[in-house]
Amino acid sequence: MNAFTIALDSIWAHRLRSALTALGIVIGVFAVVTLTSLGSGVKSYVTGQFSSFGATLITISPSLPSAHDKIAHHPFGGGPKQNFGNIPSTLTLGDATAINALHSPAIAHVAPVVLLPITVSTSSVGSSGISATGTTDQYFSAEQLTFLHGTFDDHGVVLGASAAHTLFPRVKNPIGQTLYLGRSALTVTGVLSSASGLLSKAANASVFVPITTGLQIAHLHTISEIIVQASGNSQVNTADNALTTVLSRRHPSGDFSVTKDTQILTTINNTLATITTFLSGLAAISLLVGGIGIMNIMLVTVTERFREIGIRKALGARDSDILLQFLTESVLLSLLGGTIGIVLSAIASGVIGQLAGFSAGLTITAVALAVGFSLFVGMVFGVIPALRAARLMPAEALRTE
Amino acid sequence: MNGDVGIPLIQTHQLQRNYGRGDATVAGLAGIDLAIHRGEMVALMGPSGSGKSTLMQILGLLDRPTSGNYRLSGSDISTLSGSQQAELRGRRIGFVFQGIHLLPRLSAIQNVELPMVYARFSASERKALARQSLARVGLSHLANRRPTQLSGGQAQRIAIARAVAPGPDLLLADEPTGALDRASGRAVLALFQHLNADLGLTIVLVTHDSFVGRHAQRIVELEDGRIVADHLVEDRIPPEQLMEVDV
Repeated sequence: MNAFTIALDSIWAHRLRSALTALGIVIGVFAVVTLTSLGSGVKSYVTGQFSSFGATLITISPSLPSAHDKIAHHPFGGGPKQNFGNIPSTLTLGDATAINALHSPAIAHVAPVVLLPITVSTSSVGSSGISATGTTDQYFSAEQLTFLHGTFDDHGVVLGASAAHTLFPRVKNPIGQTLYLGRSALTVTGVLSSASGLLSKAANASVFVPITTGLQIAHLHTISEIIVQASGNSQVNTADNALTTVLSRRHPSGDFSVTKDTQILTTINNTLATITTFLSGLAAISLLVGGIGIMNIMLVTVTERFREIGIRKALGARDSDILLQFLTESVLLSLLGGTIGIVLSAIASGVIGQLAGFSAGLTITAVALAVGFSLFVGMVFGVIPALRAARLMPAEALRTE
Repeated sequence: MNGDVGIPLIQTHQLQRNYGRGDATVAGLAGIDLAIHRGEMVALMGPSGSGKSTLMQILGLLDRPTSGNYRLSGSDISTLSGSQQAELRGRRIGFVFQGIHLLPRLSAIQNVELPMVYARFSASERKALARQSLARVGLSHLANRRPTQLSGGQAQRIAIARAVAPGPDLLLADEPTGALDRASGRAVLALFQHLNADLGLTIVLVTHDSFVGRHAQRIVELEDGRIVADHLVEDRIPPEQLMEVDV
């Protein structure tokens, strides 16, 4: 018959009321834990997408001349330096060749890329809405794209998985078919496997031609970007330094910018962390409301049990015994709610993770946070009712019948 | 506590207890001087509102006097801390109430053990004393019953077992037969008389019923918070044979 068993007994004696009281904490803990778990699930999904081939890609794109000086003092706080179509490109195939000529061990692949402003069609006059990209075979290695049929050679055209389906819906293997890029007829020499990665999906809806062919067909002299793959995660900065040195020599005005996947990853992770924290904070408010619910019910319980408190005090219970009894009850109620909340959250995270296609398991941090928080809530909101019970004069308590 | 016979177990001096504040103040007790010695069985009598229950609550440390002095076994109660008073209630004073006041979710023996739980008796000592006490009231066979499964008379005797189990010096009873039928009431009163005679337990009995009062050795009469009479009982009802079988 210690405080613990008395509290358990009292919770059990008023099962419905205890359940309803704990419900506030259940919802609060459920919300906090689920959001935290989903947040970390999304985060590890995104990180996984990047690091399935390591966050090793570096993208060189055109930029305004002397970007470092001018953009830094831009009145709008320095916008993105990437080319959104309004910055004329000065990057050339020569730049890609120069980077290649470094033979740096830190660089695994260098792929010049040009987006071709021409129509793609199976007839000489139509248009399919599919985009054409000029590049080299290194592009497929860097982007981790694999071939379903054929290869990429110096004359033909390679189709992305969904592009192949759109252009040749009834052909099982379109190799050897003719495809018109603008007015030029090219032979299909390869088809890519469907890419599922977050970052390589764009390749599905595109067709690829050798970059020299592409530049000729579209009458272009400059390219859209250069994709460089570092030879490992630890080599990204070395590769960045090496290629920046070369490009700075070739482009003294600084009309290019370098973006590393690691930077993007960091930005995404920071954003996700902010959103998760914000949502968890909102959810924590429901825990607060749950705590007030516990205080409310405990105050009612104390009033209802004046007589019991009076008897216990007459039989020699100290103020501290009564305080402990009621505090234990509110903490147990709160912990009970917390436990149910965690269980529900585990189920919900599992289901949502299945539906959304990423794992959103409970994190130890989230569970520890929830248990700690419900303990805290039980204590803080249990103290006032428990003190009220403890300070009751026995005569006063016994008078209420 | 078995000290000098000359020191009364209970001694009060000008004990007052007021309710309310300011102009609305009502005097519950208006200056009580009372001494009760060890081994006495005293009935506090008076009409309702006379202050007899208030006096009993102050004597039992369930309430504090507004002014005046109360010495229990010679020590001034006002100098004791709350937890010291709680300890005295648990070990030295036993209570029996009109409303019986067993905790409904505990079995009879668990109820009897409760004051010894709060007085930090060891589990084995607690169990032994509780069994002994149940045997003394003749209800050993009901040890595992819940209060709801007991008759009023049985429940009150369990409450008496609870009050005397830790071996107190003083038993305070507030209208202990008020909720009982006549036969159960008489059994309870006989039990009190035996506890008083056999164990030398000091008993203070609050009642408005002169028949109940005549079971005591001495009657203190109160009216409007004052003692109006204090005399020995000449026609005392002698202890009956204890009833072994329940009514």
